[in-house]
Amino acid sequence: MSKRKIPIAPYIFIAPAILIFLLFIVVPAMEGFLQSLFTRGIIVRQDIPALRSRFVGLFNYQKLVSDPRFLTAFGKTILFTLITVPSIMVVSLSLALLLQEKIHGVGIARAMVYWPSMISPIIIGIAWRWILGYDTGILNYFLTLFHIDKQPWLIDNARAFISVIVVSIWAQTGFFMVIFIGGLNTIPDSYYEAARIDGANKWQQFSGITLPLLRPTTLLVLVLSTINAFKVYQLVTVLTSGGPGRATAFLVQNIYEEAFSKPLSVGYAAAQSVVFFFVMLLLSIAQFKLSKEESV
Amino acid sequence: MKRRFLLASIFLLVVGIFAFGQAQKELTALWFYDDPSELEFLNKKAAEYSTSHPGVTIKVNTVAYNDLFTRLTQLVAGNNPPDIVKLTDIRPEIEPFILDLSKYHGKDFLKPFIPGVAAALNREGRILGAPLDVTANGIILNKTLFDKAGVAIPSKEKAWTYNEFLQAISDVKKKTGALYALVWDVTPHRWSTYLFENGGSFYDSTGRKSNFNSPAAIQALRGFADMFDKGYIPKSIWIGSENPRDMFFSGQAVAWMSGSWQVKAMLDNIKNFEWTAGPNPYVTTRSSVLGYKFVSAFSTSKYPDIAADFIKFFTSKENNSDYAKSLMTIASRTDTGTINYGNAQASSALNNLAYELAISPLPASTDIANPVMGYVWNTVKENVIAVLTKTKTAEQAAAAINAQIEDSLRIVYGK
Repeated sequence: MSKRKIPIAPYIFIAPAILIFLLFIVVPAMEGFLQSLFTRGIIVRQDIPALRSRFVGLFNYQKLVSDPRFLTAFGKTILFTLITVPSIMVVSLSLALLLQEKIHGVGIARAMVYWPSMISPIIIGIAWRWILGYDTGILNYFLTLFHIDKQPWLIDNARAFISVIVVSIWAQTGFFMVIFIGGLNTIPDSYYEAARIDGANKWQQFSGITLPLLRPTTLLVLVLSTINAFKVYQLVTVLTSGGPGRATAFLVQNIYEEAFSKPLSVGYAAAQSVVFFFVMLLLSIAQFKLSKEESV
Repeated sequence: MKRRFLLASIFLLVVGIFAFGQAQKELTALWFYDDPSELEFLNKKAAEYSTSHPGVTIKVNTVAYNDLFTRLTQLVAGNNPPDIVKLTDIRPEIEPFILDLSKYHGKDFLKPFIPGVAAALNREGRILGAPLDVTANGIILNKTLFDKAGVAIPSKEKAWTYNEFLQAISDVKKKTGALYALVWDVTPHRWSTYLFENGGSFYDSTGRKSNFNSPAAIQALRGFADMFDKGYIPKSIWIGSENPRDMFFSGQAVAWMSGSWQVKAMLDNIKNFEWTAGPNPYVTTRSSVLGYKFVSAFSTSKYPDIAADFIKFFTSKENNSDYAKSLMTIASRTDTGTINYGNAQASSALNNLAYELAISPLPASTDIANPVMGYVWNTVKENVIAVLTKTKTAEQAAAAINAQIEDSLRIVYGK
């Protein structure tokens, strides 16, 4: 009986990636979970009474359920994600379809759409603040030139929320458009030729060929844009500082403020991060499962 | 012969490397700054110190003020704090790691400094830092617009009530076509000026009990919102995120609530109108708010004696005087004499602001120095905005701020 040889080479090749994943993802995640079981500050020293940590079990998680500040930020994050993700997918796919054509000047058009995704979210926030500002914004200046009243783009709760969504879509669409173009290029032209011979119109070609064959790319865009939407922080902080009031304060901002501006609240902020982590994990699993079921 | 030469060379090289390693003592300084000339000043003084102390170098790492606390706590948590740091307050988490300068310079080290600031840095006999400068919150006025409108600015001794002040800036706005009557820095520290001007305070005289659920505090929250509702202050500043400094610098605002640290920037950047500072308006009490920056060292430093010595050097009478003069700040020492800022406009503004500070009530300095304050500012800002956006009444906002103060006091002092 011959002994089955286990190949070592593949494991050696993936070892660095696994090591990095363990060191920078798994270990900090576990550390975060551990911290969430304590009442503690940023610095812990058991020999200094004011800096001691205290084990509180699941108390921080109980506290979350009745904390209106956390629940509001969490609800707003979900609403933001529910609006932003489908919008990004529709806009970026539309642009990809439009700019996939080999027409004159398409390269420049693609570069212009892609350009915002190369800029730091902080710069984007500052630029849009200059555009949308009530008293000093360029957009309101142009409105007044046409005798239209200035609009409270960043002062009114609802409009500030919408402004953040629009700017987020603008900032990310180019990146996802490029991914969609990559996906579209993998679909053989012969499928479309056959469909045309059979008399399929543009919509029938899109719904019968493009969408089904683009499913893996769509899933990738769905997962990445959902993660991005949940993580939104820098852009919003610069654009609205979470305001007016807390109208655009999302989960990551809430976690940051909890950890760094309140005493002994790092454990509680860690509990919020753990919830955030599990929501993201569940969403990713659900999305992958859904795509698997569809492809069977 | 060749072998001997080779051995001697290796020996000299090893000794040289060893000696170099022994002689070089590098200290790191974590610094934030508003004006690039401050960095130049620090580097110049660090170089002077290195010249007089061969083998010692001060490496300066810079940080944005908004990131200072986060960065510092991360460095301390990672057992890698800087040797020297410029601060505006000492949070309770950091305090145990701060070097007690009295061990190096004696209990009277802070005696030559302004008493209010010196007291804030003296925690039960432990000297936690040396003051660099003093700041005063205050009203900056566009003097050109006042002159154009023919509206008089009262003397600093007489000052004006808020009613008189708001009437005056409205008149100026109307007569000159300025866009904004009053702009106000979006910080709870600047808002607190109005709290003290209403006779309110954050804490009682012991500093261990909240005094925020008071009629004066509620009135301050309500009165501040009134100034927005009546159109004196544009809502886009506090409710949106527009910059009051830009509005004033552009010459479109009649008055600006900010402070003494803006003097140099105004002098460097405002060329098309004349400005002046104060007098601050008042409701019941004339007040500015004390602010200060100071330099501290960490007890974890490899060279605590050098760090303490550098702080003494950097805040000496001569250097403090130079610092105040070149950065146009109010000197933190009382023995520097009158500083000649070399510019009449700047000197007048700084003198006016220093006067406002001198006549301010005690809580305008002691409350700000309370170690708990770092945990309270964010809640103050949120609740002031909540009153402006009508999501809370002044009473509800005062109760929320009061609760945060009580909670923080309980956590920090264990009561």
